Amino acid sequence: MSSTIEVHIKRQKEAGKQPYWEKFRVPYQASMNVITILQEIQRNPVTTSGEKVAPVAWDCSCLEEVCGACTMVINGHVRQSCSALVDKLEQPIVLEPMRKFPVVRDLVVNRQRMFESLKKIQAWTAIDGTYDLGPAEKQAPQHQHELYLFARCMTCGCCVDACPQYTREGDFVGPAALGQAYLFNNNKSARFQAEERLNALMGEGGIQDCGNAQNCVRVCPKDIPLTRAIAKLNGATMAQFFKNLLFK
Amino acid sequence: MSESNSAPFLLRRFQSLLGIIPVGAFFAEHAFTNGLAFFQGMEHWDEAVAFINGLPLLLFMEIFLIGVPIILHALIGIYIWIFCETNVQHYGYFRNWLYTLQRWTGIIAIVFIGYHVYKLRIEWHYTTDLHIVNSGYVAAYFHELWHVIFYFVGISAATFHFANGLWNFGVKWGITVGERAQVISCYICTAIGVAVYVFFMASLYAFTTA
Repeated sequence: MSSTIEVHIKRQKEAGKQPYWEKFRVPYQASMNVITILQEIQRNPVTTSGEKVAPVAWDCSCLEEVCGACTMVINGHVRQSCSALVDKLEQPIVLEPMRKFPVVRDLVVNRQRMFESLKKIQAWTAIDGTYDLGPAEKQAPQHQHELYLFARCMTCGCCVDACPQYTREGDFVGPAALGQAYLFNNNKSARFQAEERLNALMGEGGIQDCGNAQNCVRVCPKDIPLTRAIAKLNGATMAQFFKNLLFK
Repeated sequence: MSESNSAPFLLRRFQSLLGIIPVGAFFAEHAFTNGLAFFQGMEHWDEAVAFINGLPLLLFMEIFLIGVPIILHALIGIYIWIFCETNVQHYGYFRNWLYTLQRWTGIIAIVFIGYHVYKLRIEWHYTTDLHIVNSGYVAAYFHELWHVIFYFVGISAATFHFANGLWNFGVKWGITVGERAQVISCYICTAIGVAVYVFFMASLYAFTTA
């Protein structure tokens, strides 16, 4: 292992500005991850050509791959930078902001659209009422285990970034929101809004925009069985479609 | 929640269904009939063509059960294709390749089918005295090497599109849900695709060497 690491970073001064590339070289330390590289650059923001530049901006929070804030494109693949260990990466290490979201600055992106998608499919349990709704119905542990897989979603955006159907201009809600629709439609308390979620999934940007490329399930850092949820929702939306057609 | 609008959903599922019924069903039937040229001989192929041409309301069926569904499937397909951003250069996964090839083979199939229908279904009505196309006419058509190459590419693309579309149909209609089911259905669709391909290629060989 060389004593320095070469890093190429796709930078952008602010939203809407032209992106440009800069190269940095940072001293190697054992057990480095991409976050520690960025910290080194922050400490000494000098490019390989010796030019002192503004430090690179990035997002991070938990540093243990549970918050999703530090998601970026590393050597062409979208993933969390905290769990991207330098020893396992090919060099030079190429860092880019996520591809499907508007860039705020450098590696920081605005993922508001993911939140809007969650709102579209009512990714919550409606518990507010004028009276006590009482405890939720009991559920089998197997059922709980199956649903827990989907509760691990941290809305990091890897799945939508790798999805060829999720485009900057489009309005597809994306695999993460579909996984959450599945989670809440099967939750003992949240399932009472199941029909509304299914109807929302038949509108613009709904489940029909899925093209079965299945990149989502390959890049998901939490191994959420997104394609299984999508296939189940495909059946559920179809049933809901005929229910609307024939019974309403 | 506002009034739901299920038109986008309906449009896409309609496109998916058209690809299987009637387009896919006709595609498989077409392969079977053509395969007779190789497996049973040219005279059996001519008999089969004569039988099909003797069916009642043939022109009506050709237009409304084959032509219009193919055109609608293609138009909605192009509309779907416009809005995607393929990314196999970044994510070279098996399914992502199939997804990307599904779009490209669709475009190739549109060009191929359009030319094929014009040359072997429409043109001879106006340029010859034939009432029904016969094996001699088709064999003469395949004397040109580039016709054979064009058909080889076109049939390959269309067959891939058909077999992979069949797999997609299973997922899109919520039939093949689990990972294992999707792997097994992939084998089944591959087997169906290979069978159809063998029939088409055998007939292409038979006409080329006739």
